[in-house]
Amino acid sequence: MFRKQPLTVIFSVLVVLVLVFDFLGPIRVFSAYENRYLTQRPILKWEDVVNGKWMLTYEEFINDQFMFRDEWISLKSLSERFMMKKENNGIIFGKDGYLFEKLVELNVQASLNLRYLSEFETLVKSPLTSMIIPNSYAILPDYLPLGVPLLDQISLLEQWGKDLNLLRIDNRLKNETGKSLYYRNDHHWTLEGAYIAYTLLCEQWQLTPLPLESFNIESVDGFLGTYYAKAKPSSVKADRLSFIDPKIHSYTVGSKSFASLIDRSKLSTHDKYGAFLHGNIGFSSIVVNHTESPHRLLVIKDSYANSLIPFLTAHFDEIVIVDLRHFSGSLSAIMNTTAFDQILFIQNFANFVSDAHIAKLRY
Amino acid sequence: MVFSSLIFLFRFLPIALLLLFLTPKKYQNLLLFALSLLFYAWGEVRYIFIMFFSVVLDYSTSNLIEKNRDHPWFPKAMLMTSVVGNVGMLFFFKYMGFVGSIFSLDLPVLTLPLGISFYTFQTMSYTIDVYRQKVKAETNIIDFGAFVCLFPQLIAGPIVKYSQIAHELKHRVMSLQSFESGLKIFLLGLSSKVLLANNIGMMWDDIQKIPVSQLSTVTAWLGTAAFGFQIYFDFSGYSLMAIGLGAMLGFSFPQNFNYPYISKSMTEFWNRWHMTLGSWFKEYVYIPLGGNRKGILRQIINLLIVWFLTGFWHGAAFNFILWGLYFFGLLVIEKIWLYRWLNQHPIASRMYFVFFILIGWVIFAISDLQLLAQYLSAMFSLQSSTQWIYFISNYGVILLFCLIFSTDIPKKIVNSVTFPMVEASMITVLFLFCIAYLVDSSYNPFLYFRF
Repeated sequence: MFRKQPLTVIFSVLVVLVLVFDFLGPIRVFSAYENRYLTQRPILKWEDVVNGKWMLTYEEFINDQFMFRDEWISLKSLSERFMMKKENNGIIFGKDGYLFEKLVELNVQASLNLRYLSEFETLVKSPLTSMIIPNSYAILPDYLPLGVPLLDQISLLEQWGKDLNLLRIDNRLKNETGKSLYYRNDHHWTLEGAYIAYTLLCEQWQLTPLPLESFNIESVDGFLGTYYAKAKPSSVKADRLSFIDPKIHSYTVGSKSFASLIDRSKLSTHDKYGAFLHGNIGFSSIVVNHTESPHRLLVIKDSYANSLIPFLTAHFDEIVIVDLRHFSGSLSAIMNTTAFDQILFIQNFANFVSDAHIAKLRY
Repeated sequence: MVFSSLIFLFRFLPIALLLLFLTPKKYQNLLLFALSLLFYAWGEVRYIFIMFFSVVLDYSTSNLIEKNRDHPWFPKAMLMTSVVGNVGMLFFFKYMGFVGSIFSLDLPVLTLPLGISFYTFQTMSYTIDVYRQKVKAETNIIDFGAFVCLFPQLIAGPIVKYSQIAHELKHRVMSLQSFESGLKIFLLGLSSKVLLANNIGMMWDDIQKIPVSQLSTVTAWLGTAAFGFQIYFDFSGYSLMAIGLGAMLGFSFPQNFNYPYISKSMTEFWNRWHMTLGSWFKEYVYIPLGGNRKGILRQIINLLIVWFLTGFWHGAAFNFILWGLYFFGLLVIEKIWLYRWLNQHPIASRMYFVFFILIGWVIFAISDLQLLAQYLSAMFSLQSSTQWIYFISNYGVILLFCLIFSTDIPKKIVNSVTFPMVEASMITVLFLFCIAYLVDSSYNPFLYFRF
C-alpha cells in the first residue's frame, strides 16, 4: 500500500501520531522557548459555544499544545531564513544582532490614549511629568535594514508635544552614542537607558542626580528577552542585564513585603527582566525611609519604569507604583487619599499607542 | 472552520474521515450532512438556521415544481419563490447595510454568514435546473441537505451545480486511489494558501499600512503585485483544497482556476479565473438575457449586466461594482478589436495584461474610494524612496516563488518526474512546512468574508 498510496500512509501516520500525542501528552503551562503562558483547555460552557468564544480558545489550545510545538517554530524560522526574510513574527533583524519591533501604523487606541492623557493632565492636583519613551528602533535607526517603513516615533512625539506636556527624552537618548541604551534581544531599555531618564527627571524636579558610578551595579549575562522569543534569530548576541539593588525599608505588594526591589530568583530564568520590582504588579509601594512628612512620588507606568524606579529611591521617601495593565482599583482614590509631591506617567511608545488599559487613567 | 487550520487538519478531518469509513452507505449522506453542519457551526453557531432555511426552501420548491409540471403557472411561481428567497437572503445579509448607507437609511449591517454567496448561488441553480427539466428534483431531503452543506466546498467554492454531482451523491465510491490523488491535491492547495498566499499577503499588509502620501511608485506597484499573488494563491489554493477533499470523499468537483496569470488578454483571464463563477453567470444570467443572439447592442447591454453583477457579487461596496465595470470595459474593447491583435503579439499582450490586471487588483483591494484614487495616483506619481529596497530584500524570494508558481512550469517539471516516491516526499516536505507555519502563525487571514 505504501508503494501505491505513499501520501495516504504518511498522512495517516502523522495524523494518528499527533492525535495520540495531543490526547496523552502533557499539557504545558509555560513555554520557556517563547517566554509566554500557553493556552489551556477551555471549559465547555453553553454560552461560550453560542458566542463562539469556546471555539476560538479551543483552536488556540490546539495550536499552543501541538506536538513538538517548539520544533515546529524552529522549522518555521529556518524556512524564513531560507527565504532570506529580514524579519520573523513582527520582529526585524537589525545590524550587529539588534532586533527591533516592527511598528508600522497607529490604531484607534493611540488617539484614545492621547485623549485620556490630556484629560489626566487637567485632572491631577499634584505636579505631573509625562514621558513617552521611544522604542529602540527610533533611537538606533542606523541599525535598521535599509528602507524599512516604520512609524516615525520621534516626529509623532514632536506632534503630540504640542498638545501634551511631555518631558521629551528622545534627543538625550539619540545623543548618547556609544552606550547600549537598549537590549538587542528584548523590548526594554537597559539600565544605562533608564539612567538617562533618571538624570532628566532630576533636572525636571530640581534634584541633583547621583552619578552612575555611585550606584552599586550588578549584572548577569545571557539575557535573551521578548524580541528573541518571537523572532528566533539564527545567530544571537546575548545581552547583559545590569541592575542596582538600593537599600530600602520595604517593598509591599499586596499582603507580601520584600526587603529588596530585585527578585534575584528571576535572574537565572529566561525572564530576567522580571527581576526588576518582582515583575509587573498592578499596585505596589516602596518605603525608603520612615519619616513624619514623607516626600512621595506616584508612578503610573509600564515595565520600562521597572529599571528606572530603583534610581528614584535615592530622592523619595515613598514611591507608590501603579501598572494600569494589572490594576483594578481607582487611580483617583489613590490620589485623593494620599498627597504626592510628584506624579510620573511613563510608558514606552509601543505600549502607549496600543494599550487599552490606559483608559483607567480616568478612574 | 477553515481548512488551513490545525483544528481542521488534526481534529475535524481525521475524525470525519474515520466516521465516514465506518458508516454504512445508507447513512453516509446523513453523516455528511451532520458533519457539514458542525463544520459550518464552528465559526458561527447562530447562522446555522440559514443553512436549514436554504435546504428546506429549495427542497420544497423543487419538489413542488416536479409534482405540478403541467400546471400553467404554479411551477413558475415556485421558481420565483426560490429565486426571491435565495437572492433575498443574500440581499438581507450582504447588501442591506450597503443600500442603507447609500440612501442614508438606518439599516443594520449584519455579519456576513460564511459562504452565503456561494451556497445561495448553488441552490438557486439547482431549482432553476429542475424548472428547466435538466435534473430531477431530489426527493430525499437528507441527500439534498448533504449537497447544499457539503463541507469541502461550502464556504469558498468552487460553485458546484447539483447536476455535476447528482450521481455521486447517491453512488459515490471512496477508493484508496481517489483518496491518494485527492490528498495530493488537497496538500498542494494547502501549501498554496499557507506557504505562498499568507507569506506574500504580509507584504501587501505592510504596504497597505504605509500612509498613501508616503508611498513611492515602485512600492505601490509591488503592493498590488503582492495582493494579486495573495488573492490568487489563496483563492485557487482554497479551491484546490475543496477539490482534493471532494476526491477523498468520492466527489469530483469542477476545476476552478487554470493558471490565470499566464493569460494574454482579459478575455482569456476570465476563462481561467474562478471558472465556476463565470460559467454560472453565463448559464443563469447571460444566456437567459439573450447572450449574443440579439445583436451587438443587446450583447453589450447583457455583458454590462453580467459584469455589474459579477463585481457586486464580490462584495457590497462601490469599488467592487467599479471593478466589475472595469472588466466590462476591457472585455468589450477586446471583443471589438483588441483580442485578435493581442493573440498575435505574445510580449506586448502580456505587458498589457499585467498592467491592467494590477490596476484591477487595486480597485478590488481598496474599498475606500478616496484612498483608492490616492493609491492609483501614487502608482503614477514617480515618487522615489528607499522603501522598495526593504520590500525586495524581505520578500524577494517569496515573490520569485509566486512568479514561478503562477505559471505551469513547476507542474510540467513534476509531471516529467516519473517516480511517485519523489513526488510524495516533496509534498510531504511541503506539508511539514505548512504545519510549521500554522503552529507559529502570526498571519493566516480568511479573505472571503466579503464574498
